[in-house]
Amino acid sequence: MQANLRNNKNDQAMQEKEIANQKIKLEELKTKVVKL
Amino acid sequence: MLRVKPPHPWVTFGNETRKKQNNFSVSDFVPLKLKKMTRLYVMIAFLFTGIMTGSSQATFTTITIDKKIQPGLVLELPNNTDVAESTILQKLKETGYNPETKGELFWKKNKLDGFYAFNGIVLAALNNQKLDMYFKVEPKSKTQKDKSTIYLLVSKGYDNFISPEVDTATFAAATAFLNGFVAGTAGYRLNLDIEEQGKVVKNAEKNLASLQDDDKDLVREDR
Repeated sequence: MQANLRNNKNDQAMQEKEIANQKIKLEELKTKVVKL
Repeated sequence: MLRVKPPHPWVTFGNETRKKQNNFSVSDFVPLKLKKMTRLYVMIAFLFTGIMTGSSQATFTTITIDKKIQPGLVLELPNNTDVAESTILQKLKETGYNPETKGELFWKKNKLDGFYAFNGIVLAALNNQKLDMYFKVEPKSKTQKDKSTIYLLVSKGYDNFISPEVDTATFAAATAFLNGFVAGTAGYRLNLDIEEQGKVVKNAEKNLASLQDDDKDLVREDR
């Protein structure tokens, strides 16, 4: 049970990083619109 | 042992040079100039290639429509045919024309010899003059389906197709209109990419929410 919890916390942390990265990519694309 | 680099064949040292200093002939300079000129030509060639590949421009061409050769325009786009077709609709809407009022995708059926026909388009550069436009969109080649070629014929009614010689102003306006597609497709493509990226972010957030729910369940079970 504890191992599952630990894994889940790790997955959450990874997912949060993933969201942050994808949001950066989204912002980069939006910046290109302004330049166009 | 000190090695002295041999002088360049066209530059001489010592007494000989001093003697020659005030007595240069054209042949002394020619090889150096040739080298410089060659470098210059290579640089110009690179620059020209860069400009040509960096941005495409609409150019005059002859197009066969209804078994007749007519003057027209051609433009290559760095996007597939779907994006190019969507850009046509977008650019037509920008002129105030609404191809979709006649029914969704109707415009795709309104064809003349494989060309999508749009009648009564008004370009801002021309004073309320109504034009008929005929578009054909094709993949650039069998191997380059991610790129497309747009052909455009502009008519003042029926087969009265305009040419640069007969109607310079209208042809120039049509060329400028087609050139606007380059930025148009780039903008359209970018909007699609933003939409896709927004979906990626939403999916990632859903996954996180699901993990957080799992976390709560695990904590409950642990108690």
